[in-house]
Amino acid sequence: MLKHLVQSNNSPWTIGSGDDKDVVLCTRIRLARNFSKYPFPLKQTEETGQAVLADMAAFCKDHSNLKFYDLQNIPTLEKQALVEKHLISPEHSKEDHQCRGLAVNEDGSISIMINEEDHLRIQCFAPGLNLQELWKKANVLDDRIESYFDYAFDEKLGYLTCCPTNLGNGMRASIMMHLPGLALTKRVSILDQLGNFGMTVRGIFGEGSQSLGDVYQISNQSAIGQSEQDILTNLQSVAQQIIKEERNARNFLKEHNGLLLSDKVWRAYGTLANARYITSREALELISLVRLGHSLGYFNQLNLTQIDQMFLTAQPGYLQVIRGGVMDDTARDSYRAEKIREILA
Amino acid sequence: MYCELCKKNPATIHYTKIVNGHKEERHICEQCANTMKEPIGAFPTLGLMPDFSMADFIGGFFNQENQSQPFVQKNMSASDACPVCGMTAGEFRKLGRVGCSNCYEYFSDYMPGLIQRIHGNSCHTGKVPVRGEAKLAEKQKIVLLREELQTAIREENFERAAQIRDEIKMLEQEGGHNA
Repeated sequence: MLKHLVQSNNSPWTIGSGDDKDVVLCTRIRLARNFSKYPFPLKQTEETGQAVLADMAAFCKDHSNLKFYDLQNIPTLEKQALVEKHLISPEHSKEDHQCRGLAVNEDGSISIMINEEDHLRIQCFAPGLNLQELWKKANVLDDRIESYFDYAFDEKLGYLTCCPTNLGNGMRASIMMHLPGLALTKRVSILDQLGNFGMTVRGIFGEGSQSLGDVYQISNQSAIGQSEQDILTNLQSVAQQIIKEERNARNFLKEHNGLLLSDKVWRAYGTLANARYITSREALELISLVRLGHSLGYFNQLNLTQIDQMFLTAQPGYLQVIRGGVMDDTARDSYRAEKIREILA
Repeated sequence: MYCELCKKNPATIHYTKIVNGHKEERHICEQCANTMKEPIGAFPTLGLMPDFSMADFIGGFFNQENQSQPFVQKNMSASDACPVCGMTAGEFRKLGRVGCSNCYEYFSDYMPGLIQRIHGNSCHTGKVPVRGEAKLAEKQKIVLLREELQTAIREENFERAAQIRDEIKMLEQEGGHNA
C-alpha cells in the first residue's frame, strides 16, 4: 500500500476541493505525544525504541484503516517522496539507525510519525482551509490511541514533549498557502508581522527562507495556557486576513496590469506545455504563475488538481519514484518536462 | 588581489560603497569583513553564518550570567543525571531537549526560569488525557489515604492502619501497571 501511496499523483495538497482552495492548498494538524512508560526517542535504547514500534504496530492491527511501516525497510527514494508529500519530516527520513516508524491511512490524510523527536507525531491533513473539521478528526484519533497507552502528561505543563518549546497542548496547526499575488505586488513582508500573533511562517519549496512557487506555511507556536480552540480560532482569523489580502492583490494585478499579467501567465503555460527540459526551480516558478492565472479565470481547460499535481511532479524524489529508479540531473529535468506536458496535454 | 585592509589574505569580498553620491570600490577578505564595525551593504558574509539552532538558543539561557535571578542552580553539576533516562545536566544544557518525562521533574530545580521564559507563567488549559484524569483522581485518593493512615497510627488503631496500608499498596501497584 505504501508504494501505491508514494506513487500516486495525489497528496493531501493536490486533491479534493476545500474552502478557499484558490489560496489554501491544504491544512494540517499535528499533535506531539509521548508514552509515559518509555524514555523519549533522544534517550531510547534499541529495546525501548522497538517497544514503541511494537505498541503502534499492535494499535494498527486493531485499526484496519491504518497501516504500520518500519522505515528501516523503506527505500531511500520512497522516503524522499514521503517527505515531499509532507507525510514525514526530513528529520524522520534520516537513515541513522533510530527505530523510526510510520502509520498511515490509504489516502495519506492521516500519518503518524513514530519515534521522530517525540514517540508520536499524529498528523491529519485536509484540502483547503479546514481547521475545525480537522481538529475533530485529530482529536478522535488521539483519544483512540490514548485508550491503548498512557501519555506523558503533567497537570501544569500539559503534554510532555522532548523539546520544552512544544510543551502544553503539543498541537501545531499549519496552513499551506499559495501567495503569488502578494509576491508580485511585493507585499510578502506582511507575513513578517505574524510573529506578533504567535505564528511562524516558512517557505515550503526550496531551502532556507526563499520560497519557490510562492507557497508558504503558516503555523501556530505551541504554548502552555492556550487551549486548542483558542489557537485554531486565532489561526483561522489570521488566515482569512491573508486570504483577503492575497485576493485583493490578485484582483489589483488583473485590473491594473491585466495585459502584462496575462502575458506572464500565458508564457508560463506555454513553457510548461512545451518544454523538453526543465529544472525543479523553473517549474515551480512557472506553475505558481499558472495557478495564479487559473484563479483569475485565464485557463478554463485546466483544473486546480492538475495544477497542484504539477507542483508534485516538480519534486525530485517523487519524480524518481514514478520513474522507478535513481536518475541524474539531466535525465530528471527531461523526465520532469515530459510528465508536466502529459498533465497539460 | 590582496585584501586592502590586512594586505595578507586574498580579497574575496568585493563591494561598492556610496557615501553622499561618492562611489568607492572595496576589496577585502572574509576575516576583515567579519571584524568591520560598519555593516557592509548586502551582508556578503551572511552565507558564513551558521544555521539557527533551537538547541543552542535554549542552551544559551544557561550561559547568561549576572542575572538577578540566577538561571542555573549552581548546586547541580554537569554530570548529575536523571535516574530514569540518564540524561545529564550537561547534555540537557547542550541539546536543549529532555530525555524522558521524569527529566521535567528532575531538572525542575535546574531550570526554574526556562519554562516560564518560553511559555510565560501559564498553566496548561487545553485537552487532558482521559486516563490522565482517572490517574489524577487515583493520586488524590492515595494522598487522602496517607492522611487517614497517619490518623489511625496516632489513634493506635493498628488494625485499621494495616488495612489502609494494604489499600495504598494496591492502588500504587495498579498505578504502576498502568504507567
